[in-house]
Amino acid sequence: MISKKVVITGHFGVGKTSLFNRFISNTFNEKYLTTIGVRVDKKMVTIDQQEISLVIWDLAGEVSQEKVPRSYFLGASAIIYVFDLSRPATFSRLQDDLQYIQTVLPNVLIRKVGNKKDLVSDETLQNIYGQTTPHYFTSARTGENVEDLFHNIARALLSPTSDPL
Amino acid sequence: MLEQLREALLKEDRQALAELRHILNTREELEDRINPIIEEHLLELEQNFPNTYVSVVQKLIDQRMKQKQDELINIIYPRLGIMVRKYISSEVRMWMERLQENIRRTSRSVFWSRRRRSAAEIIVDSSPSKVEEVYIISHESGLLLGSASSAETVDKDMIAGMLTAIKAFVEDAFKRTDEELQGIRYGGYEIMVQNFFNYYIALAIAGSISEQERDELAEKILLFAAKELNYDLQEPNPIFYAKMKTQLEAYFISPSKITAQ
Repeated sequence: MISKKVVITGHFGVGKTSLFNRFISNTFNEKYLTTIGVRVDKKMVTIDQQEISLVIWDLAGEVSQEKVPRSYFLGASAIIYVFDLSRPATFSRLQDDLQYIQTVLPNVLIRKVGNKKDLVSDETLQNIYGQTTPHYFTSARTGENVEDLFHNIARALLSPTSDPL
Repeated sequence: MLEQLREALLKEDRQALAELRHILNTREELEDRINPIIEEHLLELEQNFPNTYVSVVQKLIDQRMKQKQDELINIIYPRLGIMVRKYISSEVRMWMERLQENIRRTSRSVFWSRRRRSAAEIIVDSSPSKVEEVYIISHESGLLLGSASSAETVDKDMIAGMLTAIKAFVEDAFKRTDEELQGIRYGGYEIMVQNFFNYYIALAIAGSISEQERDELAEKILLFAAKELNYDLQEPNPIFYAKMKTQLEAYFISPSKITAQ
């Protein structure tokens, strides 16, 4: 079976660990507990009868991606860049952060994810879409689009000809 | 008349032809004549090889080394490790011998010959060590390339990932690019780490381990890497994983199974 490393990164408090928990164990905790360093877990995903093991690294949040130890990104096949739809400060550095990640991992698959969809209105979503063009709007609380996000990544990693961005 | 004339004209040619046929069909005769020519050519080739072919061979080697750089480093790395380790061990042994000799000469007392065993030595003897888990892990991704264990434990992929994260954190936190994490101790357990070019091997050891045992295990890991891991190890591969499970078990978990070294 194929194993691939997937890194979840982004500003602190955007819901990276909540997305991680929702996908791995289908749970959600209302309390905010900051991640120290990194958490690693894995989940098998089956796409068209082909299994892939996603080894997911949930990194501690940082204001800038340049502050994340570079070695955490190395060897990753996909990056999930998460931002909080209800806090514009968490996507103000999005372009710089993605540029930095691409210098570390030139051909990595990147998925921009706007999380906490349940906290914002449709109008706000439209505005943010114009600014950031995310691949997914998710809600770790309700579970909306979380499975889709990881399945999309698994599918792309199984057929690596697809466009990384 | 014509026949006689033909006989007279062709006699010598026919004899020569028969002789030639005999030489060609008799191995010894043929060898006698051909071997000196071959030897002469071989000698000439041996003497002129560097002038004629060295640049071609050099170019081929350079190309091959560039193409298979990681693979070559993976081959050289453990062998270099073995050499350095042997050198250091022998130097330390000689130094210890000299030191003991000096102590013996200066003291001339029975105290040294009847010394008490240290607490560490007693502890090591009372709880013998056992290798419970072995992992081959990719340096960069932290993905598991191979593993073996004496019992079912928690998810091995998770352990490999977390171990790599801890390793990356420690190495990054102290900003020492020339040094790498070599082990983690917790209670009666120890994780021994041996770093190679693009992978590392981690052993989870239960019980107390003496310096001598640690040395022996380190040497065993180097031998294992030199013999079994001559590949460009980057991505996990199920076939490689299955093969490694058997090899790791034989080397580290149930070492008595090792047959051919």
